[in-house]
Amino acid sequence: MPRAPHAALAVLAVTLGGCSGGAELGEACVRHSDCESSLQCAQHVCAPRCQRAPECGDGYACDEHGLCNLATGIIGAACTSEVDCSPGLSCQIQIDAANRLIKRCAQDNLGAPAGAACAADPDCRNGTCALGHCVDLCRINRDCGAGTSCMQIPHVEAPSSTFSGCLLTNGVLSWPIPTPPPGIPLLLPVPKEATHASVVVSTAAPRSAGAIRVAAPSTVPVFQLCPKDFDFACSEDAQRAQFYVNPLRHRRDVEMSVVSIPSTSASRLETGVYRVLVRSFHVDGSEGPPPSVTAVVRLGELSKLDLHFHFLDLADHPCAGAFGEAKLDRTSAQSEAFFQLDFLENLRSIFRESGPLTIGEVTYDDVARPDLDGLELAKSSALLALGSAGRGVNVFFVRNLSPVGIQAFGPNPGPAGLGGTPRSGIVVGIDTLCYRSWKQLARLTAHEIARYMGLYQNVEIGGQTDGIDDTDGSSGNLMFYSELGGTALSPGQREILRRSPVLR
Amino acid sequence: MRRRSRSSWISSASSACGIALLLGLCALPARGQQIALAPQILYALTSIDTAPTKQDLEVVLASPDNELSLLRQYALGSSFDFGMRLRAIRAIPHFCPQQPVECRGAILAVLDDIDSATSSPGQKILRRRAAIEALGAARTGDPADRVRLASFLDDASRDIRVAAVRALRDLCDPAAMQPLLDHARGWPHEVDQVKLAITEALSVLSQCGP
Repeated sequence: MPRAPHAALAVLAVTLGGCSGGAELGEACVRHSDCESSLQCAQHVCAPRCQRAPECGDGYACDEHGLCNLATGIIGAACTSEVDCSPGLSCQIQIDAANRLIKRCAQDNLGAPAGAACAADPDCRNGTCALGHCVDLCRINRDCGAGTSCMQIPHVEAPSSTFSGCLLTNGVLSWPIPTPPPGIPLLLPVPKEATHASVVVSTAAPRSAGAIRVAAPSTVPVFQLCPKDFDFACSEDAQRAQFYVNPLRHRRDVEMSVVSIPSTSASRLETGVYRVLVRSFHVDGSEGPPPSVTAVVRLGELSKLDLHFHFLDLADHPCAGAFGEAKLDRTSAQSEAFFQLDFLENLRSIFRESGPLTIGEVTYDDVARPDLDGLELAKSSALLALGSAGRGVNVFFVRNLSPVGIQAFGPNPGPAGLGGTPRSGIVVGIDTLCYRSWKQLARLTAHEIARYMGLYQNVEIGGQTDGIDDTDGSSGNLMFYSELGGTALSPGQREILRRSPVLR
Repeated sequence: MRRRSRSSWISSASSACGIALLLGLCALPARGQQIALAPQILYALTSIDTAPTKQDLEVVLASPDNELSLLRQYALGSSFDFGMRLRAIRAIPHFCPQQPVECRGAILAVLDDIDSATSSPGQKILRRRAAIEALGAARTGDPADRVRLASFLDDASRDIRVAAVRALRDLCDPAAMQPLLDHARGWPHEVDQVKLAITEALSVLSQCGP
C-alpha cells in the first residue's frame, strides 16, 4: 500500500486548534464530525471518505462508512488482512507443521509493491507472491485497491489450503513458472474467480513440447498422453486416439503448445492447484531438455476482442479485382468499403451473434518481410512471432499459403495473452479472394480466430467431435471444418469463447 | 489396380446422380461426365486450414484404388466448386508412390488444361500454382519435370515464379540448381520475394545428393 504521510498537516491542524462541523476539504479537524458529511477527518485534515483501504495509506483499513482506521496489529499478531497490521508491517503467511496457513503481522520486506511481478514471496514487500504477482492479503473487497477484488487463492505450497488475496477483478495474469525437475509436476493455482487457465509450453525447434499429464485439483487426471496413466511412451496412433478420450483436449506441437482449460464440456475449470507434467521431445520422440512454461489465468468477465491486422506485401496480387485493383495495405484497409464493410463488418456480426463478443480496438500495420509474403505453413512460426500484441488476436494477411488450398492457419489453441511467440496469431491467404467473397473470407477468418481462442472443429474430416455436449456435426456451425460452413455456435461453444484470455 | 471402364462408371454415376441431383449432391463436370459427389468429399476438399491426408481421402472417396482417377476428374471438372478443384490438384501427389505414371499424367493434364479452361486470370494463376506445387511434391524423378518447372521461372506472376522455385527445390535434385542459377542472372530485375526463395532453394538443393 502507498504510504500517506500527513504529519505536516496534522501539526498544522493541532496548531489551529479544533474546528466546528462543516469543514471543507483540506481544512483542519479533530474528529470526523468536524468535516462535511462526504469527508472524513484523516490525520487532522478533512479528506475524502475512502472507498478502498489503499486510499488511506499503509496500515489503515477503510470501514463501511468510508472512514480510515489505523490498524493496531503489531509484529506477531494474528491477522487476516493487510489492513490489520500497523504501518510498516504486512500480513504474511507462514505454513505450520500441519500444513496449515498461519497469518501474522510481520515487518515489510524490501521488495516490490502489491501488483508487481514476482517469482517468490521474498520478492514482495508484503511477503506474498501468488500467480506471479505480489498480493495483499484481504478479508473483503474494500481491503483491496481499485480494479482488484478479494478472492480465494490456492496456496501452491499447501495445495489443499486457500487464502484471501487481492487480484485483478477483470483481467489476465501471465507469469513464467520455473520448470521442475523431470517427473515432478508444475503447480498451477486457479483462484475461485478464474474463468480460464492455460499453460504455454515452449522449446526450441525442431523439438516439440507439451503436457504429458494434467491432474485437476480434484486429483482426477483430465489429460494423459497415453491410454495407460503415467505411460509416456505409447505409439503416435495411441496418442492420437487418446486425444479424443481425454476430458481436456491438448496436443503437443513443434516449438510451442498450449494446455487450455476449459476446452470441452468435461474439462470444467476447478478452483485449486492443477498439477501439470510437461516435457519436450526430440524429433525421434525421445525426451528433450526441460521446456519453458508460462501460465495464464483469466479473472472475471471480459467481452472485447481486439484485432491487429498485419499486411504483407500484396502488390500485383492476382486477386486484386477483389480490392479494386489497388494494393491492399494498412492504408487502404482503413478506408475502403471492401475491407471495412464487406470484411470487418461481417466479422463483427459473426462475433456479436456468437459471443456475444464485441470487436474492440482494431489496429493496422504493414509488414516488410518478402520471404514471408507467400507463406509456406512450415515457416509460419517466423511470421507469427511478429505478432507483438499480447491482447487480442494478430491477423496476418499474406499473398497465399502453401500448400495451395490452405486458406488460413493458426494454432489451436493459441497462446492467448502472449505476444511475440512463434504462435502469436493467425494467417489468412488473400488468394482465396480469387474465388470467394469478402464475406466468406470473414467467415473463415472468424473460424480461425475461434480456434485460436480455444474452440475445436465441431466435427473433423474423420468424424470426431469437439467434446462440447451441445454441439452437433452441422455444416452450419462456425467451427465446421469446410469453408462452405455457416456461422452458428452452440451455447457451450460460446461459453468457451467468452472465457478466452484473448479478450479484454 | 482395380479400374472401372469409362462406360460403366458413367452408367453407375448417372443413375446415382438422378437421386443425388435432387439432394444437391451432383456436379456436372466438363466433357460431359456426370459424377455423384457426396457432401463429405466436397467438405474434405474444401477444408480451411488442413490439407486432407491420404488416409482422409481414402475414407471419403470410398473408392479403393480409384482415388487418383477421381481426384483427376475433380481437378479437371470445370463445374465443380473451384476451391475443391484446387485441393484436388494438390492432393494428387498423395497417390504418386503407387501410381507414378498416372499421377504425373494427371498433374500435367491440369497444367495443359489451365489456359483452355474458362476462369479468371487470378484463378488460372491459382490452378497453375497448385499444379506446380503438386509436380514438385510428386518427385517423379522424370527430368522433364525439371524442365517444365523451370519454364515457369519467367512467368509474369511473381507468385508463379516463387511456386516454381519452391517446386524445383522440392525435387531435391541437384540438377535443379542450374535453372535457378540461370534465372539469378536476371537478378536486378527480380522482386525480393523471388530472390529470397531462390537463395533458400539453392541452399536446400546443395544438400541433396545426386
